[in-house]
Amino acid sequence: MSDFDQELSLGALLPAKEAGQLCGSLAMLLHSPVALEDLRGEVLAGDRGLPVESRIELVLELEPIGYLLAPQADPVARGAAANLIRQMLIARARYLMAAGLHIASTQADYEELQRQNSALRESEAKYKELAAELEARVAEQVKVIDERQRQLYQAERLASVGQLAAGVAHEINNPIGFVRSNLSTAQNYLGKLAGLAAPVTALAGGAAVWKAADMDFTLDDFADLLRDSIGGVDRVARIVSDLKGFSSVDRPQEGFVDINELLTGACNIAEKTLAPGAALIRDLGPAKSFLCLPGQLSQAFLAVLGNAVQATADKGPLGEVRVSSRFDGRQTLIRIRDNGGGIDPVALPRVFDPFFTTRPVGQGTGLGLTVARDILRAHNGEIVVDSTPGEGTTVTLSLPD
Amino acid sequence: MPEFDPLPAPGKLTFKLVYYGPAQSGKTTNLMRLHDELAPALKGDLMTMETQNDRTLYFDLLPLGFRAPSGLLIKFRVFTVPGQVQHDGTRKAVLSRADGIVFVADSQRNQTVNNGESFQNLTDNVARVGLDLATIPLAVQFNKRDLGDVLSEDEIKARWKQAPWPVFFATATRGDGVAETFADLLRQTYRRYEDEYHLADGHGLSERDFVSQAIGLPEAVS
Repeated sequence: MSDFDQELSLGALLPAKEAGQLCGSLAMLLHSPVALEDLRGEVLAGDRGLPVESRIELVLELEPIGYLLAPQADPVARGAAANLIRQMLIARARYLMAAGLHIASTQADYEELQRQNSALRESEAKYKELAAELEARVAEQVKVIDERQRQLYQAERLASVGQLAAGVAHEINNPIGFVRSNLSTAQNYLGKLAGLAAPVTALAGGAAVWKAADMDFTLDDFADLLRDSIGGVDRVARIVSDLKGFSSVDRPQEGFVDINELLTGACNIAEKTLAPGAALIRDLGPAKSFLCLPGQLSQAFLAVLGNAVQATADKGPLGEVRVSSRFDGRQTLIRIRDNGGGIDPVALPRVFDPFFTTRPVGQGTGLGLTVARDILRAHNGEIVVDSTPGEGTTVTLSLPD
Repeated sequence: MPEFDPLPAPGKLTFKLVYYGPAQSGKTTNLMRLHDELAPALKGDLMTMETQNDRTLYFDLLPLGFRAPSGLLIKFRVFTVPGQVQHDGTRKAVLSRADGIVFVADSQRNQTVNNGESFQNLTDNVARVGLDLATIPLAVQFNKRDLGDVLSEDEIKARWKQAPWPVFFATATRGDGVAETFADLLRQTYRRYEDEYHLADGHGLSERDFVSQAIGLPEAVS
């Protein structure tokens, strides 16, 4: 369909068949041969070769669009017929224009709807994208908050442990100092007492008294007691020192530290929780000094060691924890292996999840390995857990050079 | 673009002029007055398509025309659009290929928003059908001056001061201002297309003759 406002020719307004019927009817009414011609004189319908003198213009709007020829008709009747045809043409034109406009406006409305539809789709897609982006950002934020919470928890725990250790160190070191000193002095005094044996037994009756008092045994046993006591006090002093080292009360900042030194400190603490008779084997190879946060690394080692010791608790004297360290030129590898019960394969993928624990409520925080991994990653390292149920668990910590 | 038909010789140049504006601002009344009052050499019947409660659903069409000294038939097909908001598709179709526009606004104070929305709709549709508001001949008419509570002429002039289009005041029911508005649109139309169709040098048609022949009323042409 062409544009509705296109001007219509006679041929467009009167299809050939209708024009033919019209001419036939008019011929009967006018008692004359009848023809319809277009502007160029082409006969659209009716008789050909009629004289043009009698033709009447057919005007639709302003100007003729064709002619009616009826040479033998009465002029008045011929004029009336032309008027009749004009009314037909106007009705026809109205219909064609309305139909054309209807199509054009429907098309325009449809295009408008399509435009709105595509705009809606576009905005829908945009909102979907925004929603997805928002979701991703929320997840990311949740992750960050989780991590911060863990770090905060850890920091607070370290701080309180550090405060406790500092307090203990302060309160115990002083008495331990003078107890140790007094014990040494007592050893000296014991030597002097032992020196009296010869003169006293040389005196009259002296030997009998000495013997009655069982002084030989007393002096020997006294020396043993003092030796044992000094050993015990030294152990207490070492524990305090390890505790200080572990909590890094005196090394809060990062610094160059021998990894083996940190491992030894952690082993010394963990060892005390071993089942009686169980072994903690140190297999420390040459390791590098390392720029790190010593307190945090100690915490990570102790967390892994603590798990290993706990895993071997059921084994009694057969329990064994082996700690090894190696530097392979690129990274330091620390392996902590136990011969405990191993980890259930179902639980294995979750061991690093925060607050995941298989221990009874109140005994495990579920943060040990989580924090250990955070700490290793903070040092650009990694931590890997291998476990075979019934055979034991190996945890490998790697620290790049 | 006006449509030029070379046949039958010496040809015909048809201008499509469109009366645009909000619903019931008097577009059809303008056309009826033009039909009744203008006296060009050629004047056709006012073709009114379907209406509903006195509202145009499709369009009205008034054909007018005269012959230039060269014999060229100058024909105007003056259309109205349906003003109601929901007939936008029809409005757009009628506006297509327009050579000149009269925007008929309703002077009543409470119709200000409708006028604004309709004019916005005109600028949107002009762009959509590929016309350029900056170059197309356009006259603005504020109709219904005889009603109460209408915007004063000063208010309207102040509001349209920045616009490049001439503003006319009319009471179409009495015929006041109708021919003046149309005459101005004819003047703009002549100026816009004179060069392109050689109206003066090719067909011996001056601007003054173009307007007065189309109007057929010497007193309406200043």
